Amino acid sequence: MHISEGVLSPPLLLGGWALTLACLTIALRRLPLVKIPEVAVLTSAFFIASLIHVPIGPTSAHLVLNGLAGLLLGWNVFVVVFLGLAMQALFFQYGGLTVLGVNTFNLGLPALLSHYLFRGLLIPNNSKKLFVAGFGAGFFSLLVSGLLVALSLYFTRQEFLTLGSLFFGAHLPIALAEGLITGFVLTFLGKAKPEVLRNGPAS
Amino acid sequence: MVLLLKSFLFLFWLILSLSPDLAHSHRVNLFVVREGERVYGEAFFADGKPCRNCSIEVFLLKESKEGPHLASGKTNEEGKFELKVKEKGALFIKLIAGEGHSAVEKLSALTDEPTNEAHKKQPLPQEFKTKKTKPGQAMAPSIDQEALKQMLRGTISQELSPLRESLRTSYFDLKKELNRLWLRDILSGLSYIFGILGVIAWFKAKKKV
Repeated sequence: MHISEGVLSPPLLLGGWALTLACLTIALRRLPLVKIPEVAVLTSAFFIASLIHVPIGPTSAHLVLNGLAGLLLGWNVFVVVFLGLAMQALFFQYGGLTVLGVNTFNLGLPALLSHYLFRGLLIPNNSKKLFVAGFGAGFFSLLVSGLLVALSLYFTRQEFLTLGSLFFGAHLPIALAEGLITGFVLTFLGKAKPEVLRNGPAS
Repeated sequence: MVLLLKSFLFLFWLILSLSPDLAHSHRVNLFVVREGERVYGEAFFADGKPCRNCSIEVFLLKESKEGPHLASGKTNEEGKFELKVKEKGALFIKLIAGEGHSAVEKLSALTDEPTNEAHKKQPLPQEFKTKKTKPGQAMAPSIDQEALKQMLRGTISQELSPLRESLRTSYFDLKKELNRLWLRDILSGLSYIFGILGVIAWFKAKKKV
């Protein structure tokens, strides 16, 4: 779900950094002290999730968990995605520092949107609604991130033909897996740590 | 309390069940070597799966960037490829694995030493053969020096070819090992995350006081 170094054109890289820095500034301003441990745990989960491979047909894809972080944190998801991706770039050589801007935006924006779409369903003690919220956030975030990645590639290489197959062939199954896992995590959180859900919207 | 214990157990199980996967990442690796006119290479994702049917593009290296396009090819089912490149200058090789995954490698220029591959294929020069078969005239003085050199080169190259092949395999294996993901990478990443967020928390707390 990340784009490698040296694939995108310089204007796109700069644009990505500009958008990401703007979103990060907003996120850091809105980050209350009490939320920081939660951000740290979700960043760690996001960082590790890239190692969990789900085999799909001939290829395998890994979990992203940006939907989970977005649903629970709102704007602060940009801190999670930025830090997580930076660490992945440094230690796993995923992507790189020049594409960090584009990659953060591609994963962060859909996660933020899913927060506004599904936060109404964050009701502790209602496992069904929690599962729907989790599934929706995971599924939506991953699919839209896939679309943004495909668009970024399209702007550079004009590979429009591969876009459709990439989008539906590769991302639909992993989006389903991501949705299911995010759903289960949320129902679990609803039982084990419902206070996480109550202060859901980060204002 | 029970739930907390359960969640700890679940996490523990998750980490244990994942440990064989720790060596895996999603990055694509490209290794190349060059022998004469041939460029050998292997491409695979870091989880060990070969990069099948991925395009390989060979360019001339110009100011450490890609110059004119020289050749292109595809990897086979094992992620390996072999290309013929006549160019002697430094090469820039690019692997495109789709979905934004790509890797590049550079190869230095060939030295002027003539290459074994070219000689192996060349038939022995005609005059050399005929001179040898003539009775009475078989002895040394008339043997063409160049032809003899070439024949020796061909033989040596053939003798060495298994050795060269095993060297190539160990070189690729060594590179794979170096590119593996280690537990310490994961732990360092996690420590940085907590450290950086700790610093942010510290500053936020200072402002409040």
